[in-house]
Amino acid sequence: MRPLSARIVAGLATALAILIAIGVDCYRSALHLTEDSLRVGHSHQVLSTLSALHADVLDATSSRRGYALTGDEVHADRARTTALTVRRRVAELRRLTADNPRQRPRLGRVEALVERRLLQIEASIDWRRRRPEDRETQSAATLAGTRTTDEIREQLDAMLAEEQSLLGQREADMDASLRRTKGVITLGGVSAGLIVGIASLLFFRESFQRERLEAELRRREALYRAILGEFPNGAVMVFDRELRYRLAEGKGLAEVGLSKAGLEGRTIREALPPETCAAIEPAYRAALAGEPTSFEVPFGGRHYLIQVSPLSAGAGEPLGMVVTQEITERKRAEDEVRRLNAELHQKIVEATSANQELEAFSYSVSHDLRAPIRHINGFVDMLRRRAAGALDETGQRHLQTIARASRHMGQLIDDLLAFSRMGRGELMRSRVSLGSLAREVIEALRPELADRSIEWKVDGLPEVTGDPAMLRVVLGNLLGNAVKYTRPRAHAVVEVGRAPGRPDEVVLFVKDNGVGFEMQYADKLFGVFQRLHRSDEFEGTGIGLATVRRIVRRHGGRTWAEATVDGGATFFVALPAPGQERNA
Amino acid sequence: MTQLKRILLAEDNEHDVELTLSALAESRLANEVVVVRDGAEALEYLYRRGRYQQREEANPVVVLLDLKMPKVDGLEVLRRIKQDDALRQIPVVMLTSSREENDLVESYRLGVNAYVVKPVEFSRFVQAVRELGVFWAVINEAPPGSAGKSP
Repeated sequence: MRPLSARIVAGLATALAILIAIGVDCYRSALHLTEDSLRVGHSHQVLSTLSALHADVLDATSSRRGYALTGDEVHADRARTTALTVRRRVAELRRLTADNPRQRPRLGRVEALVERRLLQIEASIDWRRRRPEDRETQSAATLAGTRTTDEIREQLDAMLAEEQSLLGQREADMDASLRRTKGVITLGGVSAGLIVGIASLLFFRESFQRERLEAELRRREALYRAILGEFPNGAVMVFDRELRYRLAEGKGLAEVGLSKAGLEGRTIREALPPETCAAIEPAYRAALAGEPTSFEVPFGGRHYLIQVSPLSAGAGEPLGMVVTQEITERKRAEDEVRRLNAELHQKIVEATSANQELEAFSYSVSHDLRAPIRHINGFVDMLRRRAAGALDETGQRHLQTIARASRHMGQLIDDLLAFSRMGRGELMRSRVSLGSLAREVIEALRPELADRSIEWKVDGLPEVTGDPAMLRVVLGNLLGNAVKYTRPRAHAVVEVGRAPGRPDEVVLFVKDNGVGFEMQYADKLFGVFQRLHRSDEFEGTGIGLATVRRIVRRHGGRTWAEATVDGGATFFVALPAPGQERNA
Repeated sequence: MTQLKRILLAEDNEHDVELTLSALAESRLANEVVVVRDGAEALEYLYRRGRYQQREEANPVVVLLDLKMPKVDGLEVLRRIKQDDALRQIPVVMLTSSREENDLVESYRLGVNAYVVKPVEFSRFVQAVRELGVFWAVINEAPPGSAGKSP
């Protein structure tokens, strides 16, 4: 906007300068014109005086002639008077041509000739008066006079011609001057008009733009006011260096007993109770020094968050802004979250202590429950050695049953402990090659399988991320089961490989050609103590697959099984694909 | 050679004592065994205090320690032995029912020489104890100052 108004001012100044120049030039042209017209008038005066001189000379000549013919003194008087007039005219001519060096010498000659002629006339009259009869002298005088008169005319004609030419030149000068003046006026007027027109255009354009900007500004101001006025759950205030409120808006003002009118234009001391002032003043001062603060204030059963922050409005004086928000709901929610957190914490403490109790329990199981089993076993054995001969067959069988039962009890305890251990403790994750792990497990099983014909097919097993010890337990259980439930087969085939699955999973399967099971019990298999076969068919505790499921779930995976009765079983373990692991 | 070698068995459970002694008897090592029934008594024996003031000077060639005992438990006895310059050299074997990893880790941290979980099956228990006895009392060359050590 500044350059535009500068352009307008420059345009108007130029127009003014042009108009002044035109005025000056017109004035000068008018002066020239006056001078020129004075010169023209001067020339006309010279011309008319020259003509009058000529006429007077002729008049004097004719008066002399009249006296010569009649002798009447009237003519002589007239000749005398006319001579005076002639001299006066010559003097006038001298004055008129004083500035013209070309006419001066001519005038000199004319003056001499005229003087001679006047003397001739005077002499002729005088001669006539004294000797009226002397006609011859008269004639000779007349002849000489006529010659002089002719010379005078000649000179006068030359002067006339000179003055005529001077007049022509002066008239031309005057015309040129007039034309130039007209041109200057026309040109100046047109350009001044043009400049004024452009300047006006710019001015109108600028004032139009300014109006539009002002309208936009008013619209925005109204919008800001409206936003501030509708400020939800709170208020906005702006204060200056004197802690005087410059602005106070928001629906929240009324809630705390304040008003826009009661704040704007007043200092905090004028607008608020002293104790409130004392409480908020440090925060206000800090904001003016550029330091934002926020604090919470309870008021009338509600909670308010007060934020006092510096407000930079361009390079002006420092201002502060107060934003208050009613946070009762938020506070309540926070309290609720805190309460829930405390509850959760309490639950965690309880769970941790329960876990510790469980640990103590399993420790106790591990140590104290195993001891009696061992004792039963040991003493049964010693009894059998010592008293074998004293017992009949039934007695021997009973001893065996006791020994088998206690061994089973021992196995149950060991399996339960393992199951419990798999649920506790951190997962020690690392890269695990399932292929190598499967081969290790098979190697560990081999000594017990010397009398069995088992064909192992291990192929295409991937790497996963997991706890190697736990994954070994998984494979140990699955392969152990495959070996166990193929026992009736003369030739057992156990296949371990990778099955197709979702892209975020790696699916491993263990397939055997054993006795299988009914699919309706497929899911029961993975429960603790769940068995699908009698223990006199296949020994076991019913904990192995529960342990498998627990470990796989802790790795974030799934387990399932497919089988047909007498048609073999396939167990599936889906583990998260590398990069997809999460903690259970 | 072997009659002077002494084994200290610290075991609170009388059944375990009987079973262990029975197993050692099979290796003809039973009469070399001193049985104490808790940790405190084990320490009394080792430090020759109380009723063991008059025991002969030489240290046992091995200490078989039960983990869980009244008064002073096995881990504490182990700690005391391994912190004492005069006792540190005595081999200590944990003989326990516990498969708890914590116990295993802690025992080795304290400097146990061997850790044996008592097998549930008696025949395997007998075998384990026999091998233990034979190894420590017969095969292993005991440190100087042990019972039965040739001067």
